[in-house]
Amino acid sequence: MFRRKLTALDYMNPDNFHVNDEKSFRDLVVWLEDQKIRHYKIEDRGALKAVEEKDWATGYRRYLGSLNCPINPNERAAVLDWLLGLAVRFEYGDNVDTYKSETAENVRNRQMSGPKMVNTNPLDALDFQSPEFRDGVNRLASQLGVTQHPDHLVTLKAISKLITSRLSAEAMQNPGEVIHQGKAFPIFEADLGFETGDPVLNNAGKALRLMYIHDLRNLQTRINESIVAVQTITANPKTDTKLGKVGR
Amino acid sequence: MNVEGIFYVNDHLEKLMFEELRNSCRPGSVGGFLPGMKQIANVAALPGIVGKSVGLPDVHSGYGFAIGNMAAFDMDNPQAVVSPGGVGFDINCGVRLLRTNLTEADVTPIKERLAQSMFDHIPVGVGSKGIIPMTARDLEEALEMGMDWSLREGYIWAEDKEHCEEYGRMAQADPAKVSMRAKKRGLPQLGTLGAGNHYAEIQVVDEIYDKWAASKMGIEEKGQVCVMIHSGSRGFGHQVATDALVAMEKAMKRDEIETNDRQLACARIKSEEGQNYLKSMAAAANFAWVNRSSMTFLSRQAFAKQFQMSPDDLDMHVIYDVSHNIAKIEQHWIDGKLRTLLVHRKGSTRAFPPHHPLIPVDYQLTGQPVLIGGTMGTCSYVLTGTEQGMTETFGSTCHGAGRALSRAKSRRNLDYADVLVKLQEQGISIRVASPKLVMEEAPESYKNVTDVVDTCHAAGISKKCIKLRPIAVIKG
Amino acid sequence: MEEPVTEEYTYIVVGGGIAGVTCAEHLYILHPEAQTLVLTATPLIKAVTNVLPLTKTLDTFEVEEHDPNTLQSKCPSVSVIQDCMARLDVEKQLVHTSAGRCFSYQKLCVCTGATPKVLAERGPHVVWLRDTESAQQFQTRIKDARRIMIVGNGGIATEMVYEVTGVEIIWAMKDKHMTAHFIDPGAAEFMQPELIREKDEGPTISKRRKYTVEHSSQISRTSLIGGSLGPDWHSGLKLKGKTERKIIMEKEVEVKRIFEPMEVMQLEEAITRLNSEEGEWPVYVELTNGKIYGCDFIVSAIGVTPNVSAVTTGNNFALGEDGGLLIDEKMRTTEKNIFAAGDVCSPGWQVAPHWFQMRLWTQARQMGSYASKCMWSSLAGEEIYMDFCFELFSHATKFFGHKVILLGLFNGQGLDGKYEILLRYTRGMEYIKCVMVEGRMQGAVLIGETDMEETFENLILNQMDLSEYGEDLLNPDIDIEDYFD
Repeated sequence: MFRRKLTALDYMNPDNFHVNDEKSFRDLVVWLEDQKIRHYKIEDRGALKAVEEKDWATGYRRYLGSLNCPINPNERAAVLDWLLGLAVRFEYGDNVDTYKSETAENVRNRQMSGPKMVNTNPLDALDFQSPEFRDGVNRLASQLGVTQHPDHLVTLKAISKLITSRLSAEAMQNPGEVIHQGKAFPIFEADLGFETGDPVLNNAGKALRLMYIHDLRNLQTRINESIVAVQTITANPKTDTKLGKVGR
Repeated sequence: MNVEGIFYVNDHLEKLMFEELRNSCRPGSVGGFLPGMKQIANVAALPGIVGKSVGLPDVHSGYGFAIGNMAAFDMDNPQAVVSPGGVGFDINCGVRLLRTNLTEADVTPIKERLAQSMFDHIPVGVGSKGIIPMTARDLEEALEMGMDWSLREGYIWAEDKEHCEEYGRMAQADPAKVSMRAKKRGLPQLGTLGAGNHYAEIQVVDEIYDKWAASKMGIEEKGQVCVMIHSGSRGFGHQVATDALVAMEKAMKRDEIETNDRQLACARIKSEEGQNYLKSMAAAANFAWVNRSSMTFLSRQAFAKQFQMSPDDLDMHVIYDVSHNIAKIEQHWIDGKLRTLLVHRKGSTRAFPPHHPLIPVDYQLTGQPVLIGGTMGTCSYVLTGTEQGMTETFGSTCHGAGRALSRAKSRRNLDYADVLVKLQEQGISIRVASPKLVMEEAPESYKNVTDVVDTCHAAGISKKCIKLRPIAVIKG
Repeated sequence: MEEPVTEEYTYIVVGGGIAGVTCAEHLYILHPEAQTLVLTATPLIKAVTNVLPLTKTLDTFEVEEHDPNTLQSKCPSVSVIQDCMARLDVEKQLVHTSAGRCFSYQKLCVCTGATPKVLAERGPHVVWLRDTESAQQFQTRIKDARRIMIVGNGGIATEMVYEVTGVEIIWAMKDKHMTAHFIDPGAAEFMQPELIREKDEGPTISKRRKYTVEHSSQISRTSLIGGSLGPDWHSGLKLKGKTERKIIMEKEVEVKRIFEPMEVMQLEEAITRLNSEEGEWPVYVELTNGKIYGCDFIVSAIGVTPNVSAVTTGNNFALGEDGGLLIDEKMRTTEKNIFAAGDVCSPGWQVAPHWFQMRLWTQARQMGSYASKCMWSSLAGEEIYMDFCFELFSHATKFFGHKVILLGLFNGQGLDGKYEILLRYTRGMEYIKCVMVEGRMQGAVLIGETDMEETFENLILNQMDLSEYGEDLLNPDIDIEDYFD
């Protein structure tokens, strides 16, 4: 649990530290005070450094008190965490410049660019904003019957959706799975429920409604499935169908 | 009246409404049963009511509110009230429709056996030998969880919950607010049909008016077999309502509420009595949903047994489940503003239009299915909700046929002489029921379901979708 | 002789009638892992099937005769042993049988039922109807009968008067009107026309399986009585005599003396003759109104007494006023771990205002079921509610071909005459009577297909003030079932 902080502080054996082991604990407290926190003057660290002594606890408690540690000295793990935090803060304070640029983003970027692969994927090298690209997308769209959107990237997304859902290998094999059977609902003759004043907007509204309902249906189906899952555990309908009677 | 009262009629129904009113104004008539029209007016005078006090085409005399009377109250108005009379005694009395993939031809040859099978499965026994044995603890859980309890126990399918009003559970239910007596009355009845106008029917599709909407419900052709279950919370609901009426009557003086009719006992929504009622009403609603779910389970068993196929193979899905005796907190547009209302629907069904967020996904394009059970043995209908209904009646429509004050059940020849003599020997005071001496005998003197449904359709508050014809009736 | 091996059971039910069998079946449902024993003296056991619930407290059902083995096949943890309990040791919780076996129990339920009150000691001429055996004996005797006398005014007497054809019947009753336990004079008047009509001899579908009884000589009829008859005891039996049907009702009488033909010769009083060609009869009966009738035999249907002797010997059970085992609201007798249900018990708790005990098969079933819950819950430590069936008296039956439903205090029981009646009557079709106290319904009698039973049940349980409706409540033009929905 403390491994990260201990590693950051360059503790010699971060993996093998056990907070419940009395000796390790005392050693670590001493090490922290010596190397990082340095609250006492070197001369005054005597009581704390006497890790073999029986009343080390008194010195330990006095130490925590002088640090204004808000945590109950008996809660070893919590105390340790606090001390480590304190140490880390001091460490940072000592080397502000070095650590300042270490923001999360930078670290992530570095990690990403770390294992640098040679990029041979030509798609990555494409300029997604070039006119040729845009034309290509629009041509693909008209072939597939996808409406073109002013932002071709949105069109591309639509194309991608269509291909993955309808033109994938499984979909080609089992068209019934993806193409819904049944009568189409005459949505555009149906009532929107309110008036926008613009017939085109009305139709758009109706389409939006339909999509929303579609989502809702999926949600409801998933809810039903989870209910059924619970039922398999709790259900105990007391029934004896053989007799046509139900009873315990 | 605080708001207007309106009611929907066609020519025939209009005549009946006024005849009912006329009869009640005759000298010598008893004040106990108020005509529907008067009741609509009394309701319109309740504090906090918004919109209109609406009488659906099947409106007729009931306790407190007329049956078929919808009234909505503004939740933000501290004066607004909630009234058990506006919900009814049989809280969440409602209808559930199951479809099958069987046709009339499949079922007719074994009709009697199938009916017998239904009888064998559906509510046989009370108490511990109830079909679905319940302990007191089970009941508590069921009251709180509604259909989720049935789901957990494995009596119903996940899709059933999806296709139920409120998803089969009212979250504000609090079993602690329900009296012990109600629980005792309810426990032996869970999973039972009851008598009277509660029944199960095996029906076939007689006509399809809206092919697209019907196919969304899984109804493809005429002759397709369905099962309709009509029941509620029965004794449990009765007790909850009775308890609330008693408590509210006491509080009315304290809260300075005045009404035109003693039967309209009510309480401020935010008061303790009002809140307690809403919580126990929700528990009763849950009870009724568990009831209908149990019967769904048993119907599936019955069919499966007869056809030697699983209910899944028979496609015995729930089309929808509606309540027609309930109060709901809903949001509605009034004068361009979104308001939160407490809508009382007694003998009236919710009918929400397409795209309403509270209706199931499958019906987003068609509107909420509305199940109308006729009187036992007559036709039933499935309608869909409309936008117009949403604006005019806060999304409410009729629930069935109208009876009560304007129908003679059958020929009665009341003649007491001999019997009275014998009884009088016992020295007990006797009063006899005699028909009103002057009563115009209208040829068809009750509001039949076809008339009612057609009127709703013509008024645009709901649209006809399917007509169903019964081929077997299972009465508990 | 060596000590018998003690066979251990969790639950023992003594008695194989309706209460006992229901109790055992429900014990199986509640506690399938426990071993239950049903100890029955006779070979036949009732089982309840075809239950058709009418309302929450009412059921109609047909009682089927089952071989004991059928019970065991339905409820694997239930064993049935045909034996007679000789001694009950409540201290050691042991049952000793007359065959010498010994069973131990944790909880025991006494369902030994009740025996018919005997009219007289004159064995051969007096027949009572209690179990299937006696029903079949009755069938045998009626074949050759021209005239019988039925003494009694309860359910069985009433049904018999209706069912028996081809015979002259003298119906002697203590009360002023027939079937007084169930219906009032008004309803009796309603049923009157049915009395004289000949029953249709149409083919009746027997919904019961028929079993013949082994005429085992070791079981003496006078000491052991089988499970009592259910509501359909007569179907499947041919109850036709030799002459034309005729009913003569003698009201407010009791049997004074029974004579042999020889003794009658010596009498001074005249014999009441119904027609001039009468001739001699095997037996003669003098009634308290002075009339002396001759007949082929006498049927005694004058009520029952609880059958407690088997358990009370050597033990210290408290008894109710009518001689039944006293039980509390958890069906417990005064002896530890012993429960009782059915005709043998007498409720000792403060009963609900609309309930009272009547020794009927419907109550036997309700009690058997509830007793099983009480037994199980005392073992399992689970809390249970008292069954709601004890809140409201309800009974559904058929008299003279009419459906009869009785709810609550249907005859004003315990109201001391301080009530009002609301009435609706159509000759031959229906009879509805509501008992009202201060505008609230306390009980109802519904004869005919009224469809109001559930509504009335709700009104009685709700105790709603109905005074504003007055007699309009029963106005046939008003559908109050829908109104109170």
